[in-house]
Amino acid sequence: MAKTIMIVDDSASMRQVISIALRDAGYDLVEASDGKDALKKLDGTRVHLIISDINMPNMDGITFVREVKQLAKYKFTPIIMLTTEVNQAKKEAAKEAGAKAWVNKPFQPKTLLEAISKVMGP
Amino acid sequence: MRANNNTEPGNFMFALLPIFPSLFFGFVLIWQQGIGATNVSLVALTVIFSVVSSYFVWVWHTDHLEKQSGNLLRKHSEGLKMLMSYTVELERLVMAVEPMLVEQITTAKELTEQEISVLVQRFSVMRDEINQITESATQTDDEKLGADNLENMRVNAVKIRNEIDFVLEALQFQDRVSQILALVQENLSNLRGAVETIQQQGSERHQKMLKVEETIANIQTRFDTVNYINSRTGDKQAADDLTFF
Repeated sequence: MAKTIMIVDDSASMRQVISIALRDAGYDLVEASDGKDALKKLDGTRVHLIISDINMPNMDGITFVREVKQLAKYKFTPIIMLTTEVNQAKKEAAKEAGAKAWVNKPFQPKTLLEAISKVMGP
Repeated sequence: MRANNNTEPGNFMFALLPIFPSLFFGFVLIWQQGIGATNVSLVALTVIFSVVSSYFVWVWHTDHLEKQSGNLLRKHSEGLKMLMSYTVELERLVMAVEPMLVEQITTAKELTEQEISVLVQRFSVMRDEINQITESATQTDDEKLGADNLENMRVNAVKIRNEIDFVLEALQFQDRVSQILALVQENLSNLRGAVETIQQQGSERHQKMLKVEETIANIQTRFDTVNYINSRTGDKQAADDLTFF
């Protein structure tokens, strides 16, 4: 059974690009446009990994990670930050919030797949 | 203000100074020739003439100073009024232009996002079709086509797919452009906020409230942070792209 990955990004074109990379690798996908939307969609879904942007309207990526880590069901779900952000303080904040990896945009599909495979395991 | 001081009544005493030479002349005359009706009358006439002439000179002088003072005041107050009107208009311009610019940037972001989305969708379809061709070429066992032709077709399909992947990676520029535009929107909103706060101070507002140098430095620093990744992508290294916590 294919594992499900949630993509959280406010840019529709970015979600499409990420989808193309992950669909090829055989993953099922759930898309959300920001942190709030993602929290709503997590309820009632089984997600094995989350890929989230940092700078988003309504709820930013770091707040979203903190919120996810409060949910019993997703406490141990790995989260990868996929962002254009280069601020070191935000990187530290993401780490403290509970993210497992940080990938910079623009990304190559193989870099993202490498991160997914490492944080999610076999 | 100095001109006004000169027109004060107390300064009239200063204008009476010419009386003293007249009085001195009178004393000398009386001392040398004794008190006589002619001498006393002559001294009195000299003093009266001094007082009257001093008074007219004083009146003419104060009138002249008052006129000058009034002109100066009018000139200054017109200048101040013009400067104040300019400041108020400048503030009004910032307040009115900011929402318009923010809206225009938002529209530009949305339109670009829509177009990029369509492009990504088209390339995605092309990629799927290329994948199908590669798969068919691998599975086909057609003698007419020949093994070499099939291999060529497969290699070409892989090349095209790699090119499409490269284009899809390049199209991610939209996300960085959006980030820079979001920064511009934030800077404009901050500028409007600062002007609005200062405007509320009314006549108490002054130049230091704008914190020009600090604002410029802050805008530049934030842009440099965002722009850093742009310069980095030309010579990117895997270690920078991926970090595990």
